[in-house]
Amino acid sequence: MRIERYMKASSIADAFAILQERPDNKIIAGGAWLKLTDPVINTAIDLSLLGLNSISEQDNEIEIGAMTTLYTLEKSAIIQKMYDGILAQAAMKIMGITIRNIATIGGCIMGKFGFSDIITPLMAMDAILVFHQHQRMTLEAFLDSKANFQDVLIKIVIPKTEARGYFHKIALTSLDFAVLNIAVSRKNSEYRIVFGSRPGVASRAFAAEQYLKELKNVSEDIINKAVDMAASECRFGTNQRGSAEYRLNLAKVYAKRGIEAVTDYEN
Amino acid sequence: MKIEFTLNNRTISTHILPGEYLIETLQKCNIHSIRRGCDTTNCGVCTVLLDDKPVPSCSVLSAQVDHHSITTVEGIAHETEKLSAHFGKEGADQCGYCNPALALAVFALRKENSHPTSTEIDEYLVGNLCRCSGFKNQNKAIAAYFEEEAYQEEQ
Amino acid sequence: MKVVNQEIPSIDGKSLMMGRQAYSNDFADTDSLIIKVLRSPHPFAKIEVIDISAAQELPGVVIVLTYVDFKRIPFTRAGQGYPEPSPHDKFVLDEYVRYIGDEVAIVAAVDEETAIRAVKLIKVEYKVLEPILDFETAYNNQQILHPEPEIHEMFPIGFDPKKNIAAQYHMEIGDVEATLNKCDVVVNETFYTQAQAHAMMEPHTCNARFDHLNRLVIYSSTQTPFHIRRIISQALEIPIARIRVIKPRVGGGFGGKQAVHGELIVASVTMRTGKPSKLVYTRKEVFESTYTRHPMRFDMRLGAMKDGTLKAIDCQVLSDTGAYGEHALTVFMVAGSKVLPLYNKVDSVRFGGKVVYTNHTPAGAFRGYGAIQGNFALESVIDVLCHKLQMDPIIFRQKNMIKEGESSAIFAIMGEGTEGTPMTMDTCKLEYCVQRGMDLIGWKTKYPRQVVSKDVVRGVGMAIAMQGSGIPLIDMGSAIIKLNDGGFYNLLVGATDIGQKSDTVLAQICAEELETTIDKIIVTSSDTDLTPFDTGAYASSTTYISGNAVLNAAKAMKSRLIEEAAIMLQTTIDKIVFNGNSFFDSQKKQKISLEDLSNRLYYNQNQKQVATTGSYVGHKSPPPFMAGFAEVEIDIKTGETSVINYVSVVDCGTTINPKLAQGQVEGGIVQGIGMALYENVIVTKNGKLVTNSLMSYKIPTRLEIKNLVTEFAESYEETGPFGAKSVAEIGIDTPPAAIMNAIYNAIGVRINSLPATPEKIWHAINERQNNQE
Ligand SMILES: Cc1cc2nc3c(=O)[nH]c(=O)nc-3n(C[C@H](O)[C@H](O)[C@H](O)COP(=O)(O)OP(=O)(O)OC[C@H]3O[C@@H](n4cnc5c(N)ncnc54)[C@H](O)[C@@H]3O)c2cc1C
Repeated sequence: MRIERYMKASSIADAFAILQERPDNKIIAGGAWLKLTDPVINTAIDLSLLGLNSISEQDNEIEIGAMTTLYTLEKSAIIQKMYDGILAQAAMKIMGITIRNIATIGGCIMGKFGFSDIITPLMAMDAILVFHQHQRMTLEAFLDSKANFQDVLIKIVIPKTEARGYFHKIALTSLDFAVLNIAVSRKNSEYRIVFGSRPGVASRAFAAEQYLKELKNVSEDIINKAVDMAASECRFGTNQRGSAEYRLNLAKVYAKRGIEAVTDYEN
Repeated sequence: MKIEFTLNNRTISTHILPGEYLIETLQKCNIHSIRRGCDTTNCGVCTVLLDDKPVPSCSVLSAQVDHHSITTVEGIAHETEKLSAHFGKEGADQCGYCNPALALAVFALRKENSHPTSTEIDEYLVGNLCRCSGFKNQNKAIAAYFEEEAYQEEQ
Repeated sequence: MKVVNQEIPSIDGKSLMMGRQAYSNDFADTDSLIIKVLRSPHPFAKIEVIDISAAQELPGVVIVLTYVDFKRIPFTRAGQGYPEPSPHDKFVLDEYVRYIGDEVAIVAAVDEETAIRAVKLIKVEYKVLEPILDFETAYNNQQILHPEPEIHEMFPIGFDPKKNIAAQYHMEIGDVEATLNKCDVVVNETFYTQAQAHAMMEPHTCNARFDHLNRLVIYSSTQTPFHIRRIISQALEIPIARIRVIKPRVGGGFGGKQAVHGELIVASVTMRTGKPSKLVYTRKEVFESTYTRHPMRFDMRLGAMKDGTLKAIDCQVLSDTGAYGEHALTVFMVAGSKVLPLYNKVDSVRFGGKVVYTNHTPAGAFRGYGAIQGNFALESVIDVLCHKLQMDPIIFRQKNMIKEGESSAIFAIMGEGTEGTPMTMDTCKLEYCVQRGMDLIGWKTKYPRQVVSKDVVRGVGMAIAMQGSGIPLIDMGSAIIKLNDGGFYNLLVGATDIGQKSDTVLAQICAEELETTIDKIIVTSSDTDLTPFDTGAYASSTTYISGNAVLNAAKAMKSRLIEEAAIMLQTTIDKIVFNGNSFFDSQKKQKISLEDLSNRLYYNQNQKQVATTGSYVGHKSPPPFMAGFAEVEIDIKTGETSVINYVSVVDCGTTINPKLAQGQVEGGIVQGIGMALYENVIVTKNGKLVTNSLMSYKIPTRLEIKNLVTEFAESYEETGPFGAKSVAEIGIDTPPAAIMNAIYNAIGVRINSLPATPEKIWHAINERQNNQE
């Protein structure tokens, strides 16, 4: 990586100001992904002194600092509990311990990676992003935004709730990117069904969520119908890790398993 | 730019390029145990302990370790020797190229969890690839090391 | 036995884990020029113009070399004995480039950054040529990949470059067509194997400098230091006496470091600049620009009688050697010669085919060396036949497989480039291996399948395999043992420890014969100036061939010591008893310790150096055998598959070091599982390797490997050192077939092209369902 200048920001405002100075000024979080892209950076902005690396429980929300590492996430008792621990499980499925000790949740989100195993569960948890300039913004709105975001992500906020969750990553080996990942959650009758690594970035199956919401009881037929709706609503493509056809099949199989899991449905 | 960090309990003050990676800085400090394996952060061969946590030295910028502490097997020779004795007993050592890195990950695991199950060992070490051993003799050696250390501690 | 067959810790494991200076790059001079190589972006092209001026002018660049700087001397990088059975079809640099990653130009600069920048400044105009990327269209294609007139074979191997053939061969015993016509059941299947990557953890690395005698000294992560020395001398016309090749510790090879790769480049740079230089391959270069396993197609036909008697085997092979013909003939031959004798009772057997050139990364040696490919095809089609015969595949094998005391006509006919060597199986514990493996896996209760849940099914499958122990009458090893004052020994071997721990095994053989302990044997391997000749670490030869050489040297040392002791004790040799520590004269009731003897020999009395040499060349190649049993678990909705159990029962003769032997087998098993399920090789339609990093090429991790059970059969090979045969390659051979057989037994679909990825299995399940409907 070519870096002209490396500086440790003294405040978020400071980081933001430098970020705004030039398009080739960049925030370095874990640096794990930046290394692979080998960019030329003018000023590398280090956020490590700003205390953004912890998880805290507020009255109505869980706050995750943008610099929280994946390993901290997976070991956090709070994260292990909420939504049956889907975010912790997702973190655990990413590479080995060495990468998880440096890769941050902020880096995972800001990259908008198609393969992301973190964005998928976060979307199923209605995560909200808090930026310095853009303030609060839903994860989905951020992913939809086309603009090049020269902003500092401060934290990720998840509304506190009693909810069930299911996460699964399908990959060739434990150290591979997902062929597909999926998160399903249920808050009472409110569902989220999210597919990631399609191979495009995660997307939600709104119609299927709505369909399930309107029903009182689930049955095999209803689950099958919801699965079909979900799979036809989301687009699946082909890359070296799998064909669109295979991904569609995985989406159906695991959406079904996911819905069954969050509804404790057994047939 | 100038950084200062602790390397195996020694203070190192050195000039680095802002884009320099820790593996390069350590090699300049004559550390042989840290080696390149893959260039894409996939093999684990360059693992070091950063404030006691295993990290890939190929992906951590030297600038990031300013005022932090780095440990390699050179700094924990006694512990490494004990682990290597178990590797020897189990025939778990082959080409040895990945072994210093693997040893550091084992020591980090022990700090976190002194009685890991075999699944916990596998999960913690999964990022440390090995193409020689078939893994099982390694795992037996690591389990034996944990057992012996736990026994010693109880005494 | 006190030392051999004991679980002794390896002699170097501890210092390697402690991070001592040990591998090639650790010995590079700190002021080495850094070398980077400009590589071809085209699968096939002619360099029309190459302009290096901008690169040369960049401050810090010391030398830039292109094909015009090299005399056209065709050679082969294969790293085999001389004359090689591989065609001489390669130039150090050529005006043609034949695969993406082929060498175009060499840059040496004062640091890495400068070298990388200089590479980018070289301007090349290519005339892009139509490549051949589908190996099934290479033969007789109008595009000829090697039109250059200088290239040649060293002796007849069927080399026919005008037809894109690097090598070809045909043999038939009996009359296959006639036998097949008489059979009750005939099966016919086609199989494909992929260009597996070695993925050793240490990338290829070498460095060079001149020593105080102005000799070229090269450290290299090689499996064949003596061949490297010879090839450098031949290809660069440097007198061989001016070259010294040192192999320090090597971070894994598996065949991938048998050939010469960067050594010619560092040698060229240091020769021309007078400066030390080093080249460390990037991982991408390891994937794209070293070697792969030879991808192969097998057209298999088997014929049998209703009672399960196998009558005929027809095995036709098409092998893809890539851009150059390294190991083209021999890997292909082994696909027959170390596979077909497993079923030695057939009336007729035919083997033949072609090895073709394509514009892919060249293929070369890789653990298993053809046997794994052939084993996959044969052991899969055997199960197809069993299914048709409605016969348990184990009963079929027990009836038809080779047994102790038997032979196969194939041994005499098929060698590696030359004729073969007739052999009877003096040790063959296959029957035991199969029986024991059946018990360990629980075949009786698990065959063919068990349903775990609505979506999950388990199945078991098996395969048998054989390998060799060196190449008879070609592979040679030697050893020198030197007695030191203080009564300890140096063991100098050319045999190449590349992580298989051969230094330890050879020290054990030496210590056993000299009745001493392993700490008294100081092993040095390998240094072409200091250690005696050895062909190198390949063909499963080190324990058997180099081990026998060590044994011979140790035997000679023992008699020399007894002679010297007899002189010291003023008696005759027949009166002397030696127990490893001391020499006793039973009649005169006197003794002298080895330590005293050695000290007197060097300081006080009758002074002389005691050193002995032993060498060995095999007269046969006793095969190790094994039975491998896989238990797989499959999600029938998604095709996701894992091997939950793998049982190996191996006959490798005496295990010199049982734990290290287990490590050899299990390391091989895991690479075999990788080839069977995970190691997908993807190439774009333009010939670009997509899976060119450890990020995209997936080798199994410790989480994929669930349970391995490895046992050894009691076995003693009379010709081997203390009864040993080889154990380095046999482990890799069975997983592809055993796993495919297990998948078939679980869900009734057969995958004939490797690897069996979940998606492939899922497609096969769908196809089967569609056919049933
Ligand atoms: C070999 C490898 C394999 C991987 N496999 C997977 C996988 O299977 N699944 C998966 O989900 N992920 C995977 N990842 C990605 C990993 O989990 C991280 O997402 C990635 O490394 C980015 O995190 P980081 O902290 O290192 O970010 P960096 O590399 O430091 O930064 C990434 C980007 O985010 C920006 N950024 C970071 N933090 C902020 C902030 N607070 N505000 C504004 N911008 C910011 C940076 O400027 C940069 O553009 C893999 C990574 C590697 C290296």
